[in-house]
Amino acid sequence: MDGSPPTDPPKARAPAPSPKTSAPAGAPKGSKRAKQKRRRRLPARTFQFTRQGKLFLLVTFGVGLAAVNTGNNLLYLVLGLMLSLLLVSGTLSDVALWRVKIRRTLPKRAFVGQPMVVELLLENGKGVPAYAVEVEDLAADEVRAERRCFFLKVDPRVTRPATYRRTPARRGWLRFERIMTRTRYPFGLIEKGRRVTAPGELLVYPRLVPVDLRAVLAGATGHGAPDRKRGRGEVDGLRDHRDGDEARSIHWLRTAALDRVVVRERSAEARARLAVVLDDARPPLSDADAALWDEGFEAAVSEAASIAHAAHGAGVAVEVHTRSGGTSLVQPGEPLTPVLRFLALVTPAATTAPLPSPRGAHVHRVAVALADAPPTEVAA
Amino acid sequence: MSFGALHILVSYLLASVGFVALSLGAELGPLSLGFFALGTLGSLAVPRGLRAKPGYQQLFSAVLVGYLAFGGLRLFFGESLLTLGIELAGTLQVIKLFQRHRAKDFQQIQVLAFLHLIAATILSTGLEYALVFFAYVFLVPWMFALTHLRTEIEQHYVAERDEGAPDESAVARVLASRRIAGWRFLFATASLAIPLFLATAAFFLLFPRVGMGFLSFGEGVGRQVAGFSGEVELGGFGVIRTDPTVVVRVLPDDLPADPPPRRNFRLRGTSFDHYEGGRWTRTSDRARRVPSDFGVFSLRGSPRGRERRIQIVLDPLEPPVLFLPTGTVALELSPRVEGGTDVQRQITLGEGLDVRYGDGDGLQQRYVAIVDSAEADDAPARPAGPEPEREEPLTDDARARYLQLAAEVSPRLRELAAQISGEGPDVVRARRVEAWLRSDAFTYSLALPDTRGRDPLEVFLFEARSGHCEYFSTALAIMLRSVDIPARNVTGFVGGAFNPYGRYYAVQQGDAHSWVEAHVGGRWQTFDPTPPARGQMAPPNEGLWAQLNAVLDALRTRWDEDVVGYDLRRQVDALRGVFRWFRGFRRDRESPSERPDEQGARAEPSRLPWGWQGALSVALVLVGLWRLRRRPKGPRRAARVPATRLYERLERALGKRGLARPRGRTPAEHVEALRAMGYAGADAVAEITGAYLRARWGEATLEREEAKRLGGLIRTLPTHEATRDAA
Repeated sequence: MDGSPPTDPPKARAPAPSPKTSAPAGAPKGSKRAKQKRRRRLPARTFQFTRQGKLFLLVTFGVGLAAVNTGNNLLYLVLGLMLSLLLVSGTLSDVALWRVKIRRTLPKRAFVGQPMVVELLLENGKGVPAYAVEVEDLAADEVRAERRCFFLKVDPRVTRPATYRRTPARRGWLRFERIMTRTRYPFGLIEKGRRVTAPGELLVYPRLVPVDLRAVLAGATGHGAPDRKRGRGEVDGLRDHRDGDEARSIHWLRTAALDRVVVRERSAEARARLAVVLDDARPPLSDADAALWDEGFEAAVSEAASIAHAAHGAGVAVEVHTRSGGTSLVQPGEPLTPVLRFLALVTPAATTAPLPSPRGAHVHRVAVALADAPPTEVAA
Repeated sequence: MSFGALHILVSYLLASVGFVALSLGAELGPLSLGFFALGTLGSLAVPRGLRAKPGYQQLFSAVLVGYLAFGGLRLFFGESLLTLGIELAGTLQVIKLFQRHRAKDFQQIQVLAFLHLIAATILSTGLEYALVFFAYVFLVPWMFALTHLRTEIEQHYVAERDEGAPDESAVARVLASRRIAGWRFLFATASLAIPLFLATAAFFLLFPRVGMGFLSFGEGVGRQVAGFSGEVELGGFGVIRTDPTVVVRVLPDDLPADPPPRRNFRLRGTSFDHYEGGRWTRTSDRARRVPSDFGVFSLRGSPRGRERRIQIVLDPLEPPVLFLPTGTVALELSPRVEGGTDVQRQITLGEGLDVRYGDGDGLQQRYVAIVDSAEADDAPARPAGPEPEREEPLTDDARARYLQLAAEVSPRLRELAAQISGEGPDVVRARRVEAWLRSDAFTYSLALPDTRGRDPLEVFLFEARSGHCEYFSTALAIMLRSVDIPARNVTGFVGGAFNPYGRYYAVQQGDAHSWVEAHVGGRWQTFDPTPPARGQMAPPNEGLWAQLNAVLDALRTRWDEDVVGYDLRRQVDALRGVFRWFRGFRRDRESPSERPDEQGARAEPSRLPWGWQGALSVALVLVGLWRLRRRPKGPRRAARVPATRLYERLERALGKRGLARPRGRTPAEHVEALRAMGYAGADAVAEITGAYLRARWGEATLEREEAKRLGGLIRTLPTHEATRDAA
């Protein structure tokens, strides 16, 4: 989970190398020339007439035609006013975006299919208010964002937040590339936009689906089905809060007394152990079958993540293995991040290595099942 | 004021400007204007809830259909299409004001007001249009900006369930906000009128004037002025003597640096040769077209090298008479530009030196009268002996016409004329009669003599002995004719008040005058028998009102000349002027040692036109004000900036030590929090924070040395871990 750095101001250099900003062939990447070139590169700008602007342009053309035909100087005067409105509108729309910086704050974790909230902070560095600025946060493969943030008015030298919801469609790295700011202010005739490079990335975990944890853990040594309601064993002690700990495990009284966040540690955390073994070997298939298999593989990853998530939540120590690798054991109370991260990035392997069989753990195997119906979602 | 209320106010102001624009022509009657005013006021009373109802909107659609049907009927019964169109444009605006609910309604109000402004271009070309236009330029940034913001609000505050429709409660909440558009917004948006105006002026000046003219709507209608048509009834002039409307502007070529406030320019209009029944008429309407010699129209022979040039700016009058200063021998008129080419003027010369423009130039006329200095009003008295150089022989037919006497002219009038004129040369006899009429025996009066069916001339000469210029000139003309001196009655203007704002002499309608030309000494000479008015005339132009009128007239003249009458020739001249100025400027910069003055041929110093100088000055003042506004004030700046920088350094240092101040916590609260967690550097942080707050809000000054010492404290701040370890 990564927060993105502040968006570049319009005159700042582009931080991330792109095909356009990278150094020319033969020149060292960090050479002075390449740096100068990157520094000189201004953010891309867009210009387009709005619907009202196009209509206005049409009327302007009509007035111009009438003025030329009649030679009526008052029509020339009106024509001058209309052209001036277009000129001033275009110029001020550009000015409205000067010294406007956008920062993006990403959530700490995100799952496929679950809406996440992205916060955008608009900092108006001008001495005059910024009006009607629309901000579009674009991921790597996006041309237009589904949702935009709108700032009606941001006072001078003030930073104002706005949020939008985004639902990741696939696991893995969700890379943000750029932020587009647009405004049609002041006259609504011309829309000016500035595209600034704003790299940021967020690891999207697999989709969580409902799983029957009792069936998964049936027969596990020393364990019946874990009881979510009754907790995950007796409280053994307290420990410092770690990233990923649930809020309900925080011991608020001690947190207040110690002036640092501490959580309860359960005895059950040390007892149950589940090893989810995901078969990631991809058999040689025809193209049509390969697509089906990929779909099935995603469902299997999703199932493995869901089982691991549910078991961990129920106080079971969890580990995940595939033919090509695995994670260490994640104890209850510890963040499940290593497991989720592994499953977010796992890819089919062209290997014939045997499936691992971890010792001392209840093993649950997950294999690719073809032509399954898409699983339903559950809340994380 | 809330955003919504401000938007409504500006919309109504703009709509009102549109109504005023429509009312500039004569097409809208008081009934229509009253309807528009009542409708506009009435629309303000409609509650917002009612506007949202679909039935309400449909009601006005039905009203519009009914109005269109009624208009169709009126058209059938002969109503003018232009009038109906203008009324429809106004009615649509009233309906839209009633229907205003969403942003698109306000957009339509904006568009309709704009169409009204365009429509007014064919209704009026006067200064009133300029005022409407300036009001529009002032209001349009407000209207466009507010309407745009409202559109954005409705687009972005959408209902959760139906994303296409605005969330009414959210939109209403934003519209009720006073924070969106305050005084600063109004000021900043209104100031956009300046660049708009400058850009408009630039576009106006630079857009090529290559009008094709095939869709011309015709020219303006001239102002009706009594006394210059084919017939003048005795007494008709008196009623306009108090009219201060300026009709002619005179720019003599000998204008001194400090011109006298009044000069009596005698501007001759037309003449009459036939008098009967108290009425002067012209017996012949025959006129010949005067040929143009490169824009010079010769009226009385060719110039002889002793001429003066008097420029005259004439308002469009009806009939289209050109007024000539005394002694005019030729006219100089630039061709009219149509479709990018010159079109020669059509000047006609009728009997009795009746000069008219006959080509439908309804707009303002600017021409130069070439005046023989020897015949001008202010020419020195001609020494006796040599005959005038410019002979004007009279044919027998013409002589007979200028000696015509009506049957009602009584023998006692003839006897009186013979008695007064006496013996001698014609010019001496004529002067005697003129002097007699100007004597104390007669008084000037605007009150008309009570004629009761009798000959007004008889009543004037033998009973009333008082009247205005027409009576005097008629009396002189008839008396001269009765003693066999050809004479004609002439109408025109005599006067001229200096307008310091336009640097010209303004001749008003009230300066209309009547006098006599008698053919004596081989040429036509002017005789003015009217005695001084002695308080009967309108007071001279003094006081604030007169000053205001002078300013307005100067503005009107500039407007008519520089805007309404702007054509390709002036455009080319203006561009040449700019290039000339630029070349002069470069020459002055590049080779100061080769200035023309050192070669004895110094031209006028090149100077940027006044308009550009003014625009540049305004721009410079605005930039200066803006910079002044952005700069924090003296002592506060000195105190605040180092203190702010110091605190920013502290924030960065604390951030590096994992003790960053969270958002939402004040600096003072942060000090307390650091103390509560036992941070060892809390006292230093407290000291720096205190210095910052005192400088920031307490108007205290943070001295350089103190800032340096506190900066040293920042560098020595311990980490939180070090504090824990020490504990």
